[in-house]
Parts: sequence; C-alpha cells; structure tokens
Amino acid sequence: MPNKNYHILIVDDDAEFHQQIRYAFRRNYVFEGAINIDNFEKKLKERSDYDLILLDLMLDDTDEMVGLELIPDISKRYPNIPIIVVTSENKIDVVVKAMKKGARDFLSKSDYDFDYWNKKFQEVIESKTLREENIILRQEVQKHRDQKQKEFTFVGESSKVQEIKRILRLVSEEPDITVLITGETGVGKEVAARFLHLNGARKDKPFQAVNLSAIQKTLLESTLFGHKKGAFTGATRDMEGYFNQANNGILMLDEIGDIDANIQIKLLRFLETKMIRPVGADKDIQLDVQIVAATHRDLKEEVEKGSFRADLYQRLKAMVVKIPSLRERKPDIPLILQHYYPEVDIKQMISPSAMDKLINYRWPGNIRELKNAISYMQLRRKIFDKNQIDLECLPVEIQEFDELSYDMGSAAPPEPPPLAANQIPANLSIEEEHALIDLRKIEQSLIRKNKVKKDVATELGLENTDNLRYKIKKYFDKHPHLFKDFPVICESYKRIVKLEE
Amino acid sequence: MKQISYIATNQLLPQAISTWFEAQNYSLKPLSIHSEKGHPQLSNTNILLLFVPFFHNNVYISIENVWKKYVALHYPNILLLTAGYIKHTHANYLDLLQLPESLEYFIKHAKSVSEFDSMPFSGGLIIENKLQKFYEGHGDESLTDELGKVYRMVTIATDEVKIHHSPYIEVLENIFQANHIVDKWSVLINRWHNYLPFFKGLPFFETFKEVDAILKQIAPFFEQECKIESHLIGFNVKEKLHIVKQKLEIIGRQYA
Repeated sequence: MPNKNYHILIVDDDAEFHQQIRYAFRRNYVFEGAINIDNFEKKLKERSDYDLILLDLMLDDTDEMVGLELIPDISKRYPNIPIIVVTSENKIDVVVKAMKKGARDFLSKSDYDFDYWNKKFQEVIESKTLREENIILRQEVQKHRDQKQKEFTFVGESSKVQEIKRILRLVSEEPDITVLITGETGVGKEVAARFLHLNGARKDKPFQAVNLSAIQKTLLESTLFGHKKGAFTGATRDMEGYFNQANNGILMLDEIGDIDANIQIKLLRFLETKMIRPVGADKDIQLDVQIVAATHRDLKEEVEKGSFRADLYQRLKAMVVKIPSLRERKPDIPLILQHYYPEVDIKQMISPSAMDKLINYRWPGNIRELKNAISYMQLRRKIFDKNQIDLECLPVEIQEFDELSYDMGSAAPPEPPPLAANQIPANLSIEEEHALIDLRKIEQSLIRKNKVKKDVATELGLENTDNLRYKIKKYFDKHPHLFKDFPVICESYKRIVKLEE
Repeated sequence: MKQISYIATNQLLPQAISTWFEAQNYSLKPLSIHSEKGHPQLSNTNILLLFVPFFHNNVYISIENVWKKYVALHYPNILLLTAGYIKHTHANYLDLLQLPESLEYFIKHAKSVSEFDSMPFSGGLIIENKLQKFYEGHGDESLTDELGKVYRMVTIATDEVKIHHSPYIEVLENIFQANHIVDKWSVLINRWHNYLPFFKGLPFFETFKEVDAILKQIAPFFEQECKIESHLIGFNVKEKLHIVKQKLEIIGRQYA
C-alpha cells in the first residue's frame, strides 16, 4: 500500500529524527514535522486530514512525558487521525499508558526496522481508512433505513389508524410476543410490522420481511432456515436463512396462510423452542427472533378446512392485529396521496372532483392499488399536458365507479369476478385447475407490480422473464379458454395470448 | 569437610578468615566471576559466599542484589550468603566482626533466595542505579539511547545501500554527516568506557566483554568518519550493532 498520497506528521523535538525518518521513508509517504507543542497545534490547524501522527512522548526539552497528555485531546479533536507513539521510552507501563490514552500503536526509537515500521504505518493507516469507510457505510445504511422508513411510514390520522397505532405501540413493548397481522391484500401489513419494529425494543436489530407465497415451495425450507453445503443438489456452500438473518430482531412472515404442512410444523417448533435446524445440519441453532406473521386469509377458516394446523394457529393468534381496509379509513386517502407526493400540495395537484372520486372509490387493492393509481394518474396528466389531475386522468375503474351502488361502510365489496375468487369451478381437470391457480397468481402479481414483468418473475420465484413468458405460452397453448378471465395477462402478453372475439 | 564457594575482590580477606571456616568444618573455594562461557561456574556449587562490597575502579560497589537476582534466575537452589563489616542482622549475612558461634547452625537457618526480598546493603555504590542510568531511554548518562541513535542511522544507511542501491556519497551526506554520527559514536564509546569498570563484579560481565569486543571490531568504520563504504558492509556494522543491542537488552530486561 505504500502511497505517496499519505501524509504523516512527525511530532518530535529531535530534528535529526525527523530528517532520518523523512529520508528513510521518502519513497513511501509525504512527511511534515513539528518540533514542539505550539508547532504541532499550528500544523493541525493548517490541515486536519493527516493520515497518521508519529508522536514522541518527550517534547519541549523536558523530562516529562508531555506527549502522553496530548494523546486524549488530539484523539478527541481529530478522531480520524491515528497516533503512533514513537519514543525512546519503551517501558511497558509507558506503552500501556499511551495505548490507554488513545494511541493506536507504539514504536521504540532504538528498535528501528524499516519493514516493521512501514508495516505498522500501513496497518494503522489502513485501519483508519477502513474506519472511515465503515462510517460512510453506516451512513449509507442509515440513509437506506430512513428511505425504507419513509417508504413504510404508517400514514393516517383516522380514528381507526390511531387505534391501530396505539395497539401496535403497546404490542411493541412485548419483544417476545408472536404477532399476527391480518387484513385484506394491500392494506399495509408490512408497514404495520415495520411500525412495530421501529417502536419496539428490537428497533436497532434486524428486520426481515419475507413473502412466503413468493418463494417456490421446494426452496422455502432452506430459504427460511438455511442449509448446509451439500444438503441438496446445488447447495455448494453453507447458507443462512431468513431466521438467522433476523436473529435478535423481527422476522415478518407474510402470507403465512400459504405455507404447507412441513413448514408449518417447523415454524411451530421454532415458536415453541426458539430452535431451528438448517437443511442438512445435524444440530439445532438457538435464535432470538420475534415472529410477526401476516395473512390476508382467514386462518380460522383454513384450520377448519384442514389446510392450516390448529396448534400453529393457536400460537399465532396470541396477539392479532387487524389492519383496516382503505375504504374503512377514507379520511386518510388525501394524507396518503400527500405522502407519495411530498413535493407538491396535493389539493393543488388533484382537482376536487377527482379527489372525491378517489376518496369514494372502494379500493379493493387497498393502498397498493392507490399507489399504482398515483403513478397512472401522473402519467396521464403528463400525456394530457395538464397542470392538475382531473377526472380524465383517473383510471377507468375509478372514473366509472358509482359509489352509490356500494355500501359506504366497512363491509367488504363484492369480490371481483374470477380473479379474486378462490373457488375453482368444479368441472375443471386437474391440469386446468393448476393452470388456473397459476394464472391467478400471475395476474395478481402483474397488477401488484404495475406490469413490470421482471418484478413479477422475481416475485413468483422465476429465474427470468423468459420463464414467465414460457409459462404463459404453455398455458395458453393448452388452455386458451382460461385466459378470458385474465385481462392483465392478455394485455401484457398480446403477442402470445390472442383471444377470439 | 563441606565446601563454600566464594567471590572476593580482595583475596586477603578470605585467606585471613579461612581458618575459622575450617574450624567450623567448612573449606573455602575461590570462584572466578568470569568464565569462558559467559557465566560463573556455579553448577557444582551449593553455597556461594560474596565478600561485599566489591572493589573495582577504586570504588566500593554494592553488587549483592544483582547477584541475588542472578542466582534466583539461574541457580535457585544455591544458598547465597554475603559477608562484610557492616552490622546487619539478616539470615544470609555473615558479620565478619561478629561471626556466629556455629556456622552449621547459621547455614541451616539461612534462607533460599526466593524467601527474602533483598540482601543487606553492603555500603558501596549501588550498582542497580548505574544499570538504570545505563539503560535509560533518555538522558546524558544513557548508553542505550545513544546506541539506538547510532543503530538507527546505520540501519537506514545500510538499507539505502543494499536494498535501494543509493549512491554512498548521498547516504553519507544525508544520514551520517547530516546527523553527526561520528560525534554520537564518540559519545557512545566514552560512555561505554566509563561504565565498563563498574560492571566488573557483575555475574554477567562476560556479556559486556563480548559487547566490548564487537564494538572494537566496528570502531574503524566510525574512526574513518564513515567514509569508507566497504567498511559499512564488510564489517557488518548494522548486524553487529544489532547483536550488541540484543545482548544488552537481555540484561536490561532482567536487571535494569
């Protein structure tokens, strides 16, 4: 690493020592010197970015080790400049004192050795650089966290939201309780989980969120619990799972109603013992993770149907928090819009009539749908070259929505045809049934991901968009009649899906 | 008859007192401090008696506690006794003006070196103080400080010549002449010669003699004002100074 760009300040009352070190290391570093304390202070005022200070302990022609007293002050004022003490006093108690006061290392003047000294200079400067990089990285992480926090801010002042926030704050005081967050799709269950994290005892610890329905079933166990090298084909190295990554923090398991019996039993074991066993491992690992589960399904119903374990449900329902749908908290809609448009006054940006429509729409996709609508409206405003979002800019379904035909209260809207319906027509073959379930997932994902195919492929656990296209083509070739219920797929894959009029 | 090995700078004293020892059924055997292997020949000794203080360089020198450390480190089973004219009551001290009635009884009740802190002071110049000055990091009396300076300059110069192939004239000017190495060498040698006689009675004096010999080997390089490049490399000045440093450091760590 010897680098002429590194600046070293020698502080020593022995001018000959300066000259010798400058000469010996002239190829490696740039040196400046100070021969007394005043001179030292002056140098530090002139530039505060030295990469290293070599400090003698005996200064100003005294027999006192005045240098020793300078170390804490310099370390405090210039924490980024490391100090190596270079002195003739190599008694162990002096070394210990110097290190305790903040010196990073110690060199004895009478033991000069170019390689050893150079190595010490390098180590200390490198650790300084690493420390600086570490600070930058920490700032980046904080920035990222702040961004995430902003992205996941629990916006709303309606009485329902205030009540939810109050409950979440109370729950956050219990860092070991398992929490089940329920609510329709898109209501902000992850936002609620992050709110819990930010306000709880584990706020400085990791928060991991995983959508269980987005991970291929065959990979789910190793994704959650990790695996050992050689545990299965393709396991070329040990890998930590989400549980490990969330250790000491919170793990949010979204769409918990979608996991199969095998994962259910492993999760139940974790909730009971706090132990996991990675795939292929012969030992359990003890972890401290708070589980926040979330689902849009009615787990009680799933238990009755036999698709969800009753004992796991009992564990999960220790603390249930239901997030209201957007139509149940209509007063919050302008606030949410403002949150996503922080740079403009939302009342100026959206015309009153458009705002009325937005407030009174039923929002079956909840906040997720609202976010997508925002992007759509912005784009339309630009296309029409308008200063304001008006009715014309709204998505067609909002424009055409007739609020009078729906109950304005909290009742859930009628399920949209086939897409939202979970029922499978009785007359379908097993192959058709599989295709239908798959296509529903793709359709929903396309809506959620604003038709960005790459994101859809990722969400569905597919390697790339080619695989997604292949899948759709395969289903269309075999079951073209199923596609009439999936307008978004049809629109996104016009070249493949050609429905007869 | 049992045997006691002794070290004395004035041989007349043990001779004068040997009759008393023989009457107590002990014979006195003189021991040379200086052997060829660098240590006194103590391996066959059970009892070591030092007639203190030692007399070197026209000065009485109290060496007893350095010997105590030495015996404790290298021969912990030897019974160390001192004998002198100062009045002391110490289990390991023979008052020559008031000898005990029974030497056998005295020896039986003397303590091993690990059982007491220090030997009774014999009244001479305390050699530990000299050693401390010798090894001090700073100061007008420090030898190691001066040695460190000379060693550093010689090392820098040797690296320049050997590793970087810098022209010798440049090294001579920038290191040796700019830093007045010849003056520093003179200071070093003067201090060395001042200290050496005081250390004659120490158990590790052989090491100082070896150091003295090495310093003499490299002296011509400095006497020629470091101007002869071949001396720097040919005399292995850096390596020899390093050996000197190492030898002195070992002693310094244990006794200074």
